[in-house]
Amino acid sequence: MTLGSIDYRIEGKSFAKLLDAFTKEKLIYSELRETDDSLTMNISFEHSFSFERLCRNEGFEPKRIEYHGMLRFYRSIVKRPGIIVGAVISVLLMAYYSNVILTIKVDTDDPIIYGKIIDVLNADGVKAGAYLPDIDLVIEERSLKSKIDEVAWAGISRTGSGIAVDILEAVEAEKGITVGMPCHLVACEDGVIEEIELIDGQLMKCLGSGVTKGEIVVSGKIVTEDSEWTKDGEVVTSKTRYVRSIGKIRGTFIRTMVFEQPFDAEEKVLTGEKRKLSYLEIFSARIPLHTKIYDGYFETEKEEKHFPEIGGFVLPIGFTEIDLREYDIRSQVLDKEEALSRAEQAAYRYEQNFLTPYKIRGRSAKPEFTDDGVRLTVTYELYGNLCKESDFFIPKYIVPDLEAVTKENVQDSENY
Amino acid sequence: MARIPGISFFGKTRELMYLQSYIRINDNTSALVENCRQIYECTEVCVRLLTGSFEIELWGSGLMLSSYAENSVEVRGTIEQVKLVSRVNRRN
Repeated sequence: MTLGSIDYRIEGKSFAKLLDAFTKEKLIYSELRETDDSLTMNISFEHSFSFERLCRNEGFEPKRIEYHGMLRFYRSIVKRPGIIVGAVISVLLMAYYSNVILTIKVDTDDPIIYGKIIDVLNADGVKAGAYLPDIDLVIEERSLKSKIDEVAWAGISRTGSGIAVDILEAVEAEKGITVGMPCHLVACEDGVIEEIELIDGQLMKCLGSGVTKGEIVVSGKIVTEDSEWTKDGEVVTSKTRYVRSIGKIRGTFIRTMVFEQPFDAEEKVLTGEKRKLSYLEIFSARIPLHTKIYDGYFETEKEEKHFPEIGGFVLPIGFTEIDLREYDIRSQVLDKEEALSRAEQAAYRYEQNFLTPYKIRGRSAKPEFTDDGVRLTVTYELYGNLCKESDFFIPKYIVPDLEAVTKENVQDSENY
Repeated sequence: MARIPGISFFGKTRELMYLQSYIRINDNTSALVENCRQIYECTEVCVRLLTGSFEIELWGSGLMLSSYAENSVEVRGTIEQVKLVSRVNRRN
C-alpha cells in the first residue's frame, strides 16, 4: 500500500457471489463489512483497478468513498498547483545553485590584497553566479600567483556552493640591518646650511656654506693622519675609520613649482535625476530586480541593505537598494580670474600635502596668462632638512677575511 | 459419529500437505483463518467462512474482514464466540 488505499462502497442485496469472486481472484482487501444493503471495504490503490473490473463483471458498481495514505496527499497536492510549481522551482534552484558560485571567501585581512584577488577572479570570470564545473581552479591559483605580487601561494577549494581562497602573503625580505652601517649625509636640495646637529661623522661643509644636490655634507669615512718626524724625514700614518653619519643638517633652499590651469575645463554637473536599483542578495550573489539599465552617468548617493536578523545573526539573504543620482560632464570655459583661482587652489593643495615637513619662509607667485590657460609659477623659500642618508660600500680589502680565518680552525678532510 | 481425521489416511495426508484449517485467535480482538475457501457472510455480528473441513462461524460485534494473502482471512473486531461446524455433519 505504498500509494495509499481507497474505501469502496458497493450497494446491492446479496454479495455471496461477489465474495466468492474475491476469493477466487485472490483479491487483497481489508476492513470488509457487510450491511443490509451495502458492502464496504478498503482496497489498495495498486489493486483498485482490478477490483473495480471484477465488481463490474459481477454486476456491481463500486463507489469510491474516501482516500487514505499517500493517495490522499497526492490528491490534495493536485488541487494545489502552486505547491507543485514551488517544489519544481525549488528543485531547479537547488540544482542550479549547487553548481554556481554563491560565496567567495578570501583568507586575508588586508583589504587591498582582498580587492586585488577579487579583481583577478572577476577578470577570469570567477564571480558570484559563475558555473563551477567550467572553472579550472588550478589555473585560477596560478593566475593569482602570477598576477598579484603580494600573493606568494594561493589555494582555491570548493566549499559547498562557493569557493574559498587561501593565500600566503608574500612578506618582503628584510634588507638587512642598516643601523650602524656606514653612510654619508648627502644634500638633497640646493641650499645654504643654517643649522648643524652632528652626532657622528665628519662634517665636510661649514655653517653658512652653500651645498648643491648630491654633495656630501657629512662623510662617514673619517681619515686621520699622524705625522712623525724621524731621521729619514716625515712619516705620515693615515687611518681610515668608517662610521654611520648621524645628525641633522638644516638650511634654507628654494623650490619652484608650476601649476597650470587650462581655460577649457570639464565639470561634473548633477542633473537632478534620481534612480533606484534593487538587488536580491543571496550570499555573495547579487541578483538584480530591476529590468532596465539606465543610460548616462550615475553616482551612488546612498546604499541601503535590508538583511533580516534572527537572534543577532544576520541572514545571508536580503535586499539591497542603491539610490543613484545622475550627473553630466560638461565642458566649461573659465575666465582668467576663475582659472587663476583654481591654479591657486592647486598650489594650496600642494603645500598642504607636500610642504608640511618644511617651514615656508617666503612665497612668491607669478601668474602668466597664455592663450590656453594660466600658468602659475610659485617659488618657495623653505627651511628644513637639507640632507638624507646615503649608504656606501666599504672596499673589500678593508673587511677582514673572515672566510680564511674560519678555515684555519676547520680540519680539511681532503688532506687525510 | 464422525471419524477422527488424525487417524484416517486422508486426514494424515491433509495434515502433511497443510490442507487443514489453521485458526489463530488473539484474545478476542482478531482471528486469522488460513486455508479459507469461501466467504459466506460478513456482517458486523457474524462472519461465516468455509474451509476444507469446517464451516467457521465467528460471532461478536464490530467485525470486519481482511484478506492480505491467498486463502487467508483475518477477522477483526470483538469476537465473542467461535463455532466450528463439520462439513460432514452439515451435509447430514
